[in-house]
Amino acid sequence: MRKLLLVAILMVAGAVFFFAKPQAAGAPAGKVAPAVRFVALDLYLDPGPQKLGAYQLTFDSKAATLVGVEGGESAAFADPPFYDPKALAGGRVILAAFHAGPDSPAGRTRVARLHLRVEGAAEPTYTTKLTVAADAAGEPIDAALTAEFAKPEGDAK
Amino acid sequence: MRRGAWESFQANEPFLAPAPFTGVTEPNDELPDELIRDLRAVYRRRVEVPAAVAVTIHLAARRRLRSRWRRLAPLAGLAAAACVAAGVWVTLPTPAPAVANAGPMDLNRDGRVDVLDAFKLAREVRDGNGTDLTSDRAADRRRVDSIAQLAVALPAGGGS
Repeated sequence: MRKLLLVAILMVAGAVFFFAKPQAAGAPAGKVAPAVRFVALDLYLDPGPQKLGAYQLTFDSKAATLVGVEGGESAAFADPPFYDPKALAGGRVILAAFHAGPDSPAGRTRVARLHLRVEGAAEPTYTTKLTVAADAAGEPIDAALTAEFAKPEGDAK
Repeated sequence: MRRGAWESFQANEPFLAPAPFTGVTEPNDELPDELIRDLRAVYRRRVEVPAAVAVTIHLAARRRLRSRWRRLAPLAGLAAAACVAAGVWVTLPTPAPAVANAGPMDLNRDGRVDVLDAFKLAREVRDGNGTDLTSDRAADRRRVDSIAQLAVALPAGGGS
């Protein structure tokens, strides 16, 4: 009997813990912004008509924490770029990648995706700077660096 | 009005030298008349220099001066050239300083270790030739990664 009573108490406590939500019955529909969320920031480079052979850039944010680094959209830069592991759980990272093969991309291409942990609803502020870019022969070239927050793929659960 | 020594001598008058600091004059002992006459004769006599002697002295002086200038002329020329060179050097635009080598991993000698150094070695490994290759290809590939890691290394203190 005591065991049954103990199990029942635990079940009720578990239900309260897992199912208690800010919105109560009768509350208006709509989501409440979580205190902590994760966003993805896509980094693009546009070397113009020249083929991109290598790049090195810096990302810096005091409002976001870096939690992951992905590669780009082209096969040449699909692997994650080089970065210092100390950058994880921090707000600053240096990324570098190169491709010595023949299929280097030209034109605007996503070279990396950064996964960031953000607190609050506002988009985090950040700065990016292109240190150097080179063509397939290793010659320095000009390239435009841009960044965009990736669109969320459905509701995160 | 006090007379100087020369005026007194010409006027054949005793010279009264003033005592120092007191302004009190005391008469000197008079010179003998014969001495006075002899001295006057020496200083009043006009010495005539023969023309030949004058010319000889003049020519010798000119030769001496010319030889002195001849010795100094090269030095003067060097000094002038040095001044001109210094002036040109000061006014010339400062050339760009030579880029310091950033170490053995700065393969392209641009003064810093970045992705271009790793990329350079990676292309040499791909092509099988280059000045930075060793006899061990595996070691060269590891060096590519090492250089790239060095290029992205954050300073001490982490990423914050």
